Amino acid sequence: MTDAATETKSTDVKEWRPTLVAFLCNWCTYAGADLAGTSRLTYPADIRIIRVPCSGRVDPLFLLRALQDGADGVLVSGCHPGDCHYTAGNYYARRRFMILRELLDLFGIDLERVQFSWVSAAEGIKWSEVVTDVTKKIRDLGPAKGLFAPRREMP
Amino acid sequence: MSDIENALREHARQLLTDKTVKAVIGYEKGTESIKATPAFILRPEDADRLIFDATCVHNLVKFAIRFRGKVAVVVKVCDMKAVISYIQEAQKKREDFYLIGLPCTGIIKRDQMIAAGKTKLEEVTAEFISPKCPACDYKYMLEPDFYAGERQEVRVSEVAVETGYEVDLMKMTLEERRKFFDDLSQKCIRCYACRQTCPMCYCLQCIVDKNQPQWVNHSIYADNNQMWHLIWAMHLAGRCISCGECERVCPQELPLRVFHRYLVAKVKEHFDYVAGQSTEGKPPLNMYFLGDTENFIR
Repeated sequence: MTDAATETKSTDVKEWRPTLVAFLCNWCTYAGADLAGTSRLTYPADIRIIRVPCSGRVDPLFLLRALQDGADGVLVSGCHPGDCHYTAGNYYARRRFMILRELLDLFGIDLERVQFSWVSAAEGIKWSEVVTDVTKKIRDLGPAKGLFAPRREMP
Repeated sequence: MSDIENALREHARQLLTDKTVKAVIGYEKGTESIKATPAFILRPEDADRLIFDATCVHNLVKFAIRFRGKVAVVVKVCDMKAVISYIQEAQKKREDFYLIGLPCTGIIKRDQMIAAGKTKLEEVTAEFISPKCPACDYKYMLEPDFYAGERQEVRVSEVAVETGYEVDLMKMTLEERRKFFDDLSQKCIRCYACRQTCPMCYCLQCIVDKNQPQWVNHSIYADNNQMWHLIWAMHLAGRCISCGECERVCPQELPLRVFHRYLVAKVKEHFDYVAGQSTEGKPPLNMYFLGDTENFIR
């Protein structure tokens, strides 16, 4: 069991825990996460998984909206290139996220908060490693305060 | 009246008399000083309203997109990129356009001229020429059907690439950049003038107008303004033709093209693609290569 995984078992309720939103492709990473569970692998429980048909389904809007609504980090995970259930969804996603990262960088959002991975249905171990690592990164960064402009009260 | 206008009017009259086109979309004199207004000429006798000079700033191609049947449009060199993108994105066929080209030597920044108290076209100096114009090479990427006036020689543009704030922005820290965009979105009133004028924003229903589900809240708060700018930038990634219309119409005079120019540069860097150059092929985010870089994916 990794150190980060142990930490999540802390009973200290005041300890800050990040909110991590993960968009998982139904065919690979979601099954991979399932495998991690059936294999009794542990990883931090700060992650909220949203199942999507394909990583190509993930509109940049999903990530932006998650960040706007208070997520401290987002993770998109899908099939390895060549393994897409819909032949090419992840190839399109790859290009889209390359550009989205450039845009968020210009916009001043730390790119560590927006993570991408390829995890196949057989890679339960990789999935637990990815989540452990991503969670650690987000914890080190701290709460995502003011990723979007503060709401100014109108006079 | 210049030779260009003579040729333009004569030809427009001919087109409408022959019924080659249903309408000619061009410019006419506006009601204020140094201001042209889009003109929709439907009858041959109205063709004399058409003008062309440095006040003709608008990109008229967007008016043509919902037009059924063949329509003649006056297109400057910069506007032609919109025509190319429409054909590339299967919004309109080449044969549905009757393209009228003209020699344009640059358009004015009217608001700045008025602010400086200059109300005559003769008073135009280099500082009142739109920043996109020095980067123009006078080359029509698609051959117009008719060319009004004397053909303009293709030139080497005065500046290779038009750049702006984003060059300085990338030298700033992450927090400074955030501050810059926070300030920008505090000033934004989300009037959507930028969207209305953007030639590439031709969707019948924009995602920000949808309320089932509502992706962008209609409230006036800055975070929702930021959502709009980010979404818009993503939707224009690899499609923006750098026409500069958004900045021209912005009532708050925001540097809106920061996002777009930056993404144009990044799309060129990653995918070696420039929008509005060819009617063939696909926009870069609508295609893929097996060997695209994925160094950011774990």
